[in-house]
Amino acid sequence: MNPPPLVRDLIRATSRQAVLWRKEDLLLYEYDALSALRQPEAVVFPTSTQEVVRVIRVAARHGLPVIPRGAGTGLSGGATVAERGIVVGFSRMNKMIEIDLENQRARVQPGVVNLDLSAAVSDAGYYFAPDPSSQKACTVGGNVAENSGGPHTLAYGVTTNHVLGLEVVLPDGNVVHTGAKFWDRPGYDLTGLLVGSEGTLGIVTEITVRLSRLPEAVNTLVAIYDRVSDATQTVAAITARGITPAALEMMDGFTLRAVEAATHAGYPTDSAAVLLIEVEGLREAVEEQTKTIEAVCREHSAREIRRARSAEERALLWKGRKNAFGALGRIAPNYYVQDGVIPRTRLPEMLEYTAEVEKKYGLRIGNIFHAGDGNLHPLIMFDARDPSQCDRVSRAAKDLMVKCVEMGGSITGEHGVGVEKNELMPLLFSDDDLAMLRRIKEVFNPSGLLNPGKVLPTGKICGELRVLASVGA
Amino acid sequence: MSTGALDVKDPEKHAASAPPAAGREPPEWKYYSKCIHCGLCLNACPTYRVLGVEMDSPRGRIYQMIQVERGRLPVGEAYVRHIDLCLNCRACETACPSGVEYGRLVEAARSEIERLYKRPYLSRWARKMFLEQLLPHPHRLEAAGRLLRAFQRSGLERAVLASRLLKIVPGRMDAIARLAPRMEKPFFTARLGQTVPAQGRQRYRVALFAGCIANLAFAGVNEATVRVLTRQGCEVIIPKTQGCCGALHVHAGLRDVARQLAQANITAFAQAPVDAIITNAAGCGAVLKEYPMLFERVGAEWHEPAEKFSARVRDVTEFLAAIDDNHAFAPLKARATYQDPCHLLHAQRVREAPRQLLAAIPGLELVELKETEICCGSAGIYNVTQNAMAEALLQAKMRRIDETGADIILTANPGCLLQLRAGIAQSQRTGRRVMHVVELLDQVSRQPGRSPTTK
Amino acid sequence: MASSVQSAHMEFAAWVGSDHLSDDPAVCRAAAVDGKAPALVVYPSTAEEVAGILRIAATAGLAVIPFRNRTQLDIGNPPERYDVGLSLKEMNNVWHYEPSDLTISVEPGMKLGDLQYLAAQDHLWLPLDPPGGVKASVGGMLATNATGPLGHGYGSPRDMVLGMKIATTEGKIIKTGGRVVKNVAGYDLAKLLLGSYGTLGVIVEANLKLYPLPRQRATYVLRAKSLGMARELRRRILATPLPFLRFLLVNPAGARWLRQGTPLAVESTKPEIWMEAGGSERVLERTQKSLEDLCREAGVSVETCGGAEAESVWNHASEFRHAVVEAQPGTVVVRASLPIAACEEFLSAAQQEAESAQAEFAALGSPGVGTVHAAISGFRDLGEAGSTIRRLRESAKQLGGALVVERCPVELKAALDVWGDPGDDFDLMRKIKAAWDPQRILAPGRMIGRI
Repeated sequence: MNPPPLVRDLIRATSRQAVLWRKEDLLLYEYDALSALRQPEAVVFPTSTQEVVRVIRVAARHGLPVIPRGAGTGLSGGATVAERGIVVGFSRMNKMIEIDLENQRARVQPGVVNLDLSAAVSDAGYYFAPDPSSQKACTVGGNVAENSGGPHTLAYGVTTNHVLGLEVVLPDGNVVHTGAKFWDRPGYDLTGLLVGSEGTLGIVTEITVRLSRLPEAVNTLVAIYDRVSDATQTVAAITARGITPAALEMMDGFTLRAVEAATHAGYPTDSAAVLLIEVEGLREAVEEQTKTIEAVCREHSAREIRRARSAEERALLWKGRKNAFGALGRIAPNYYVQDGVIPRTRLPEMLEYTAEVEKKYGLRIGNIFHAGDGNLHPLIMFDARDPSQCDRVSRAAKDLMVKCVEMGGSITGEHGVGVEKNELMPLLFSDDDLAMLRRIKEVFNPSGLLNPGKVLPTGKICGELRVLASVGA
Repeated sequence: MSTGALDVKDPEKHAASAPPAAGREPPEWKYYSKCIHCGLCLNACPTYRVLGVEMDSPRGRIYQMIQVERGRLPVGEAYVRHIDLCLNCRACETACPSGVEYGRLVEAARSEIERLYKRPYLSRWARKMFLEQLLPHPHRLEAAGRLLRAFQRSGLERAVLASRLLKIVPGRMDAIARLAPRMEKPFFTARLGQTVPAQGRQRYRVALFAGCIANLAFAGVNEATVRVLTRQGCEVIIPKTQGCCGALHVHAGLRDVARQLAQANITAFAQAPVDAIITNAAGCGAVLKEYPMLFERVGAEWHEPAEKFSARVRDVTEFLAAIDDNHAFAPLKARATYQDPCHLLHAQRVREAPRQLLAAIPGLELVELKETEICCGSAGIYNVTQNAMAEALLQAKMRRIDETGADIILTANPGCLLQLRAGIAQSQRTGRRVMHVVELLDQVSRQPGRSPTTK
Repeated sequence: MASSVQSAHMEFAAWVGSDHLSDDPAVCRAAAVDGKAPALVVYPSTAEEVAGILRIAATAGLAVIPFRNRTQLDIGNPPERYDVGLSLKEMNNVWHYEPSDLTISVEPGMKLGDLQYLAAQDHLWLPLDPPGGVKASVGGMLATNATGPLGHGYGSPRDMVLGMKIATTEGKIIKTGGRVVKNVAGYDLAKLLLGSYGTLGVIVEANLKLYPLPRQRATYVLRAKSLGMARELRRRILATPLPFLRFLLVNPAGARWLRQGTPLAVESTKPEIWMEAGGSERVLERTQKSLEDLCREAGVSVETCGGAEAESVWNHASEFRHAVVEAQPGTVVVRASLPIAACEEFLSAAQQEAESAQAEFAALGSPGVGTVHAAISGFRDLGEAGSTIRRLRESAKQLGGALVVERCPVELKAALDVWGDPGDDFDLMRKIKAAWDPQRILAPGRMIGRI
């Protein structure tokens, strides 16, 4: 079979090894971690900014959209094809171009894996702070696109707080550089605007990040509760004592049992909820804060408080938490994970509401929270083989989102809007707000070449969650 | 929308739920539906790390298997290429949060490929000769070993390699010939049927699984294993009728051959009651522990005997670390690093045991190897069948090994030993040794006076 | 122009009430920017009023500059046009304050001091100490992304803004972000407004993240024997895990500024490092001990101070730019943004420049952040000031950084862009300006590239 003209052009723009176009290969690019959508016309793996520029020009010439993709671990469908287009994969642009410890900076290509970057500088006492649960596979480019968070963003902020500069290819093939290696370059903060724009404003080809110093001391605590409300009330009580833990996570009993079956991390399976709390910093401060937190937990009727005694134990507890989605995947054939945010003081109320939703729709919901941030990840368990369940899941998820917005929160804290929630954007934003977002998009991406059908509502489906997750397999 | 993909969850829609046609062992819905395509496995997969494409990632391979089951993808050249390129190192299983048993899936997929796909003639012939005509037959294997040994010692091998004659043969024969194991003298086959008494007070009785090629090429490792075990108070039985474990066959999808080999071994080791069946080959150990999986859908009457057998299998490091009183080693001043054999770490989940044993050697500085959880490229006969990928992985591994500055590179599987030795041989730095953990233990537990089992 | 202001005057009056605007020449002169006074100053008291003023101004093509306490208004190119001063002093409401959530929503006119007073009741604060200190307004700090020495420990407003409402030149009020600490729905428009110096829209409400107040604080001073030693000390201190709230590296003249009027006012002749740590007694003990251990080798002693003295020193740091200019009009103040490790090198280059121009030179640097504020005064003439600025800008560039002229005689501003040369992303910035402010009515000409 001879390659079609599009593919010939892409090969000319890159190399023969860089282009996938056979049906059996394209099949593998119809999904990411959210779901499966459509197959692209071609997939191309550039190895340099220049190749990206040439690919964009080919795409423009053929009138085909471009969909950037890191590792495809995103949970809002950002790396899937909404209608048609060329997937630009960054797995081969994975060089760490410069590691400058003296200035606490690294300049990397977008395909560098998040955890690989931290591993490369950990011997020198540094790390890259954003730690999404997928960090062992997800890429820094993907983190930039989604403005990824993670458990430790409570104390250290999300990706945008750690990115200083970008090299970006625009749809017309121009390459621009935003931000700088130093802080606060004069002019508008285009870096801040591009981070979290989900590949709809430009294709990032180089990223300058801040490296953080590893803390001197870390304490990881597990507080075990017999009542969920005691756990949720502890959360705001800890911050009220003037402590900002590095991480403050909550899992309910249902989730715990799944996690424990999967990782044997030592979580108690007979409890109603646990808080996983981590404090980091100066040895003395960590010791004092640990004591205060233990006291707060006890005041809120924690049944037991455990302290990780070794790095291994700590790693195991975190492994349990970071693998929690997957662990729930063992229980039901399917689950749908949500990503709402609420003010942390409203946690108890939100959990009550979640229980109501469970009852209303006859669905089981596992609760995993970045509690300190008020970032909820309710996991709705279901069986996709039953169409009535799918419908209920969709409605339950929307109810939860509506509640988050009512409480002054948001429909996504870290997973992004993507193709999943773009039709829900009117819940949060007025027509005027959306008009400004559109205008900004037009500045960067006037022809709509970049990642169409994401972030902004298309108006095709009204006010609905697009997709039920966990269906590729 | 994803309705198409939703179907996949539906066992009613495809053959997987219905009892498969006689002898068919395709990937099963109840195992692949656990995959939530989160992608956490990608960076753990050696082939994805090199190629960066979904087709050569665990998530992608599972997706392809599903599409084959659904009839959306033919069992054709592309599918076979991607499934073949899998090392079956199972690092993805360690990475997987959902507990997907990838090894089981890929092995099932390969059995379907064997059933449905006609390989090119040369490849078919080579596989048949090696896997079906040679490995299962100890006598033929020994004869071949003797020939190879003569070839290697006569100087002819050096001459052939020096002549670059093999470079004219397609398929990187040159590189492959360099990977051929050195045949050792004497072969361990002479030991089959023997019982070696414990030194000092007998505390355990164990049976040694000696392997097939290992008897010829790793007789030294087997001898070291016997010595270390007997010094620890083990009586070591070496059953005579044991044979090849069948791992390579399972990996290649030749499940019937594997079953015959498994039955022979189950029978051979059923004779004497032992505390454990010991293997020093991680690849063999993994399949020995998974014999019951071979009899789930075919030959169910062997399932229970297989379970009994498998329950007793221990890797030698696992066994040694678990018994008391084995920590009085002689000091050794050296810097060492340890490469986890994939089938020990990912398939058997044995991580701490070898480290624990090595940490007990006074003076030995053990430097953790970065990316130790990534395959070195050996993977059974993978370095022969997929030489280019294996080489790429070996180069990456050697860079990490160089970083450690270690003089002794340790591992716990014959295949990995071969691969790492090839890496060391190519490298500029001299004076480095590649050893099996048990060989090093043999060295430091040599003095009988210091043996903890003798009073 | 004057006639269009007059005709718009009525509209403004109808919109905000005639008691909320003034064309008194004295009032207008007080609202001047770079010597240019508006014809009118308006004082809206609601977000809707701000939006309406912008709409009226846009329709009439009148240039508007928003401000509150003018603490940052000296930064920028001279306005191309300036018709209406938009004073936000009537907008001081707190719309939402939830101490347990560590969040607060306030109007832009609220002064930092008032916000701190409120938050301190709950042992919280907004850890910012921008130029102008407690007089700075929330809107001003955000529009200029202003920081001070606390930037070392806490970052900038960029790290503290959760969301905002913005009045646009179309007369709309749009919302970005929210009141929660994590939110990735939609483009992060707040980032655009932060540091846009009032050229895109007017921030009419800001949702901010608050932080727990440190229980105790202590200030430490090291007197280095040379800039080289200061650099070495800086490297070694920043390599420790000690979490300082503030960290300043100052030249001798800078040190005199910090110390003036306090009992600490000794004659400084060497570079000094000023640090503030916060936390429990044990944390402070540890900090002091670590610093002493570190300094012993270098033969440097660690001085400690606290209470009112320390407060006064840090206030001087915030007042630095305004105070030096007040003391000596004609002073040039520049801010160099640099890679962290280049701060001392820039300090030394700047010192040499000042010496060769026989000018006085005081500098405060935040090496942990990578910024240096340098004040140079006593130039023989404007030409020399201009060429010194250009040479300083060149050396900042060579060190991998950039230089903004925060303060200089207005006459100089005609000849140089105070922001420096725009980069290859300038075309995008121009388009963004056009998207927000197509008529160019908001502080026209003031931003980079006289946008």
